[in-house]
Amino acid sequence: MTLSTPRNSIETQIAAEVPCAASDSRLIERLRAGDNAAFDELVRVAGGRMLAVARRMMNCEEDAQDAVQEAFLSAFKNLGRFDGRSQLTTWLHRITVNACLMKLRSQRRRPERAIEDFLPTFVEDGHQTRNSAAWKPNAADGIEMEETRDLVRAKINELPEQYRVVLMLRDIEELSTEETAQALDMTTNAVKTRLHRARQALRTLLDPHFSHAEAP
Amino acid sequence: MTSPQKPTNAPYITCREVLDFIMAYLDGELTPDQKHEFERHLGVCPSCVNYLDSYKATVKIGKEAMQSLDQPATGSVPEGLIRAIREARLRGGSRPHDATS
Repeated sequence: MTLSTPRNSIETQIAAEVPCAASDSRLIERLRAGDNAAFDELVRVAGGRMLAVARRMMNCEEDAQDAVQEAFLSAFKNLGRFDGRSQLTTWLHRITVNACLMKLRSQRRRPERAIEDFLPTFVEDGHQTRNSAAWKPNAADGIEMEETRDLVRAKINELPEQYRVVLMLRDIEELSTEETAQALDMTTNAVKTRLHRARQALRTLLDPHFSHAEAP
Repeated sequence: MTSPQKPTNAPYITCREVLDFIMAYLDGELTPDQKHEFERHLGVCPSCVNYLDSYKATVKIGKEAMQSLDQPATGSVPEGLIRAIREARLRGGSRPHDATS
């Protein structure tokens, strides 16, 4: 994987988005004072959302919980840098994403197919090799069924890792292009290219299931 | 893609160009001339229209499938994880042990 260590920690850079709520301020004060109950309270209040993020990113319960644990320890360590100009949940979300990325970097890559296997192909004059058929009307509505959601998640997990990660950060975790570029130590143009290819590849993988045409 | 405005009888851009520029089109990053050429191609190419529609559906479907994994903000953290985080903090260490225990 080409993920590399961010040049600057995300903990120090999420600073000025949405002002910290008053309840956040009180909790932060207690945390900085070393109130043990406050640490547990933060884990209980924010941990569920962080765990959901980690589950999406890691696709393995044990790794997801490890990443959340790392994220909390990193947050506790960097409490002094949280200046209250962003929401606590936003700050923790980015720390969780960062912890997941670090964990993914440390993992051995699974065998995977080249992204080119999933991209559209063209004949010499620039036409598509195979015409794209329309998807079933309201294809996206079928996503309400758990079986369909499982299928889509499985297809996302089939993407080559460096493409899956960009798709996760941009389309699912809704980081901006700039935030994604910073987290992955890439240029914004590289993020855009990779996201487009990831979406195209996912579309190819979903096409046999949602298209009106017969599967090839 | 070419930038200058073309006369209406100018050659169409190719399907390859359309598919390459879909994200830029959806993000509003094409120049007016590029957008015009992009949409002129769509006007005569049902296959690219289908591709554009399915590309947009892919983004929507992917987001909904993954975000449906969201847990409630509270009350869903395993006790074992809470305990593991507490113990790791008190140890002052940063290396997690088995968080699922």
